[in-house]
This record gives sequence, C-alpha cells and structure tokens, in this order.
Amino acid sequence: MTTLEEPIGQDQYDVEVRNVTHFYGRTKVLDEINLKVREGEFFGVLGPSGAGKTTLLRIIGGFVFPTMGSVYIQNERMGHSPPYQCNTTMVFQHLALFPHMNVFDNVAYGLKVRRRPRKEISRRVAEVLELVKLTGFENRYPKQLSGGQQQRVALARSIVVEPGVVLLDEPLGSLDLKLRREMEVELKNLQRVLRTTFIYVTHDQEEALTMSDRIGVINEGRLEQMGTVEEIYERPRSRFVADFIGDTNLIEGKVESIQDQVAALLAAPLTFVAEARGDFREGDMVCLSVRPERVRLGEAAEACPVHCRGIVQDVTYTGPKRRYLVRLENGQTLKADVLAGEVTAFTVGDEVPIGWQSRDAYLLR
Amino acid sequence: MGGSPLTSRTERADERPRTPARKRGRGKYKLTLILLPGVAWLFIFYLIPTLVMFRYSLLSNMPHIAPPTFTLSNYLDAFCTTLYAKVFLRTARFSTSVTAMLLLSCFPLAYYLAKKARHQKEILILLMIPFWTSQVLRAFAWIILLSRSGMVNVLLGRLHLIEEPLRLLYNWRAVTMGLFYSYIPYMILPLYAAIGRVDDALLEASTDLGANSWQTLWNVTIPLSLPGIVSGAALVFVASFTDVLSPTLLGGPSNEMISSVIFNTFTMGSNWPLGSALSFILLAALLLAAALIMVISSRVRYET
Repeated sequence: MTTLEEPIGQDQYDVEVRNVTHFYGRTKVLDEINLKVREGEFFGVLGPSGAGKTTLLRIIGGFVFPTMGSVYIQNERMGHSPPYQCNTTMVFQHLALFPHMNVFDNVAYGLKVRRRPRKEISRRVAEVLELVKLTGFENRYPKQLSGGQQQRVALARSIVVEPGVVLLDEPLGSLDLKLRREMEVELKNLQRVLRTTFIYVTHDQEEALTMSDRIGVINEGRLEQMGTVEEIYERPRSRFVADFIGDTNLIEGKVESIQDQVAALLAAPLTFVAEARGDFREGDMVCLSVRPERVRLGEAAEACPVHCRGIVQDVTYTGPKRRYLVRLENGQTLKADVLAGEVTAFTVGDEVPIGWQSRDAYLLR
Repeated sequence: MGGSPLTSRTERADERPRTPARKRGRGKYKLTLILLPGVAWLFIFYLIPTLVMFRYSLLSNMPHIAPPTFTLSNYLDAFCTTLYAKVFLRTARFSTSVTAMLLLSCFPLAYYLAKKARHQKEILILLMIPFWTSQVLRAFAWIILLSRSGMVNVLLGRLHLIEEPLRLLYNWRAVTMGLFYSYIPYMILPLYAAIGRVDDALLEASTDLGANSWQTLWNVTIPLSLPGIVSGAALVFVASFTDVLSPTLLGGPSNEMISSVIFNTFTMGSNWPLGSALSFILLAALLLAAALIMVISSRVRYET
C-alpha cells in the first residue's frame, strides 16, 4: 500500500509493521499495513472509530497475533510470544489501574513481578512519580484520584519498567477538553524527556497534530498516509485524509488541461485551478481540495489567476477569524476563513469575488 | 458484607434534614408496610421456635415426663462429654476440608466459565440441573453407585481391577464426598459472579507489565474476586457444618457430624433439652465463625 520513502537502515526503527493483515472472523479489520516508527519518535495513529487503530496497537503490543504479516520490535521479530515477553507497555483506554492497589503498588507492579530488589523498586517508583508530578500520592487508591491523576498513574506504571515502546490507546478520551489539552502538552514533554518511542492512537485530529512527530492515518483498515504533521496537512494523498485532517473544500470535476503541474478543473460551468502532484491526465474525473483558510474573498480573490463570484450564505464570527459560506454559480457552497480585520466584512447576501492561488489547491483522486 | 447496614444507616441520617417532615413520616409508614410480612414471617417461624428451643435447653427433663426445673446441666453435659467435643471437632474438620476442596476445585472451573467459555449460561445451567432434584435423592444416587454391589464395584470387578468389592460407603471419604458434591453450586455461583466482574483489561494490564499467568492470578484475579471467595466459603462452611443427610446416609457410626447427633438426640433419644442445648452451642459457634469471616473480609475489601 504505502511506499517506504525512508532509507532502509534497520537499526533506527523501534517498531516495524510489515504487511499486517488481520481478520476478526470474516471481517478484514487491517489491510496490509506497513509502517515504521523511528526510535524516540512520537507516532500518532489517527483514524475514525472502527478504523482498526486499536487492533493495530494490540497487535504491536502482542495481545493479538495478526492473521498475516509480522511485527518487529527493536529489530526483534515478535513470534507467538505473549505480551509479558514484549518490550512494549500499554496505557489502556480506560486505564485499567488495579483498584485494590494504591498508587505505589500500581506503579511498582511491573518491577515487582520482575522480582527487582526492594530498594531499587522504591527508588524507581519515586523517580517516576516525580516525573509525572504525583509525589506524595503513593498511598492513595485509584478511586481517590481525579481523572488526570489516574492518567498519570497509568502512564507512570507503563514507563517505570523502561519499555522500548509505549503504546497509548486513546488514554485521554475520558478527560474533559481543557484537562485533555493540558495533558497533551505534558505527555509530549514527558516523551521528550524520556526519549522513549510512543505510539499514540486517537480519533481526535487535534490531539494527534499537537503531540505527534509523525502521523499515520488509518481508514477502514488501510493506512491512507504516513508522514509528518505538516506533510499530512499540506499534502494529503487522498480525499479521506484531506477531509479528516483539518477542514477542506472538495470540488469534483474533470481535468481540462495540465501545464507545468498546474491543472485546470472543469466543474461546469466553472473552471478552477489547482496543483496536480502525481499522475493526473486530461479527462480524469478527480477532486480538488482547498483549505478554507486558503480561499480568498474580495480584492484578494481578484488578484488570484482564476476566480469567480459567489453569494455569501452565512457568516460565523469565531474571534480571530470569520467563516463565510459562499454559494457558487454551480450550486456548490465553499467554506472560506478570513482573518478578522483582514478584509472588509461581508454580510449575508453580498456578491463577492472568490478564488485562490493555484499552489493552495491540489487535485486528489 | 459486614459494613452494609452501618453505611445505609448513615446515608439515611444524611438525607434526613433534606426531606420535609410529612413526607418522611409517610415514607417511614410505607417502609414499615413493606417490611411487615417478612418481619412477621421471621418472627413467627424463626424467632418464636428459637425462643421455645432456648427454653427447652434450660429444662431439666422433658415436660411430659415430670415437671421440669430450670438448669444449666444440659450445657454442662454438652461441654463435658468428650463424645460431643469429638463430634464437634470432626464436623469442623469435615466442613473445613470440604470448603477447601470446593474452593480449590471450583475456582478453576468458575474462572473458565467466567473468562474463557463461550456458552457460559448454558454450561452453568447444565451444572445446576442435578441440584434441582432433592438432596435425599442425590444421596441415594451415591449409595446406588458406591454400595458393595453398586455400579462402581461391578464395573471395577468386570475389568478385573479388584478381587472383591471395595468398601466405598459408610466411611469419612463417602461423607466428605457427599458434602463436596452437595455444595458445588454454593461455591461455583459466587465465584463465577465475582470472577466475571474482574475487568479483562486488568488482566491484560498485568500481563502487559510483565507478569506471567500465575503472577496475574495471584496478584490480580484472586484479590479482586475475594468477595466471591469469602461468600462462597462462608456459605459452604455453614451449610456443610449443619448438614444432616450426608453423614446419616453415607457415613458410618464413627462419621457422625454434629447435626446428625442433634437429630438423633431429638428423635431417637427423645432428649429435647440436651438437643436444644447442643443446637445453641452450634449456633453460637457458627455465629462466631461468621463474625470472624466478616471481620476478615472487611479488612481485605478495597475502595470501589
């Protein structure tokens, strides 16, 4: 599916998933997934619910053995070895803290079952608790902690055993938005300090964008695209990725002409321009994607090589920007975000010029 | 277990200021109405007979023989006769070992049912069906199987594994086996319920953190299913301690348990005062055991 642009030098990868296909009964939940996660990387796996993200994570964690394909953790092929022999630990979706153990015992668990000396255990637990800012909470039970604190215990419990890879299965899902944003920053900082590889599964694109160094976008069991946050946002490879990551306008049409990688797209009766990266030919039925913040209105639009006119249907004021819904001649409505104060505000019913620079739009299949 | 009446009382105390007086009065009236049949039932059929029994335990002789006087001699007799002490100890030994055996054998089964089996409900019903028949019937079934000319002996004989029939009945083994078999559901059901409540994610977390299956069992599954273990063990212990049928039907004269002795004292010996005294000693012993279990289980309970 996905070509691997990275140079092939095995030692720099902590996790390698090769051609993993997985079935639950007769349902294919993962379809030839290939991905490589670099050492010390914060890798986000992003996709809508039911896309197969959790299954992928559970395969990497050794909880599920894939129907086909293989997984390498730190260059070691995972055989049928159970999770307790893997060099990964998991932060579970609902945390799965041991309710009958206090914070200390929860965090110490991984060390205790490895029969480490008691002194080492208390030293390591103290270190890790300090790292997650829970010093002084050793004797509390999970039920006596707030959601954010429980979160930190789960994290501490996973990192105390110094795993090669930490797998996180939407652990912030149960927190309220504000706390979630705070924890995202903390989690990212923690990962930077530890320099441990994190694989983070989420359906929340903002969460993925804030924390990840690179992201893999999964949809219906297929890895749609893998790349840095910028790459994914600026150069999505499919309609799904363009639409799922951030906000976009999609216009269906036929390629009229291509010149110097700039295509003219006919969506009768209008013609638009966009960059044509990749293999597009005249006559192809394709899709044009342009982000709302790249759509220009008014004078700025008139300066663009191709523009048309539309009627403002709706204006939403959201502080720093205004979102306009502009209806075009062909009946399609486009979203346009304009920074407040950048241009004179339009009102509903106004006829405005609308357009964009050809490099700000691109064709997708 | 032990703490629940206490907590509910404090909860009610908390609510009191918030509800208006009239409503509270009506609520209390309703509560009384709801509780009345049950309380009346317990009062008439349990408390009164118990009190009558208690009076009997203090009588010097059966009232129809001669006018009795009040005395403690029955209790003294019960305590000072070594036979009763022996029977008591034997009963404790039987019920302790039956409880332990049931715990050890039912835990894996309950674990399998709760965590691994596909058709949990169906298997559970199959396990329970034999127990829908009467206990007497089941005891006789054992006799049919184990007697000198029973199926087991015949089968072993036909296979030439034994020269002459084994003596399988009327010994302590038969009694323990009878008790064991009788109380399987009492152990399975609480264990099954408790193990089923243990979140699978916790077991996975334990494995993920490096614990092997024994460590997971010992550190996570067992502590978390302790409420079921305690209630199962308590049920089986009390039930087997007071069992009459197994020792009577499957045991010999040297395998008598306290309840069968009490039964015989009442019926064959017609000595109600002594029987009553023995019953009260048994009751006191079991209450003590129950209190002990409650104290232990309240210690092991964690915050939920």
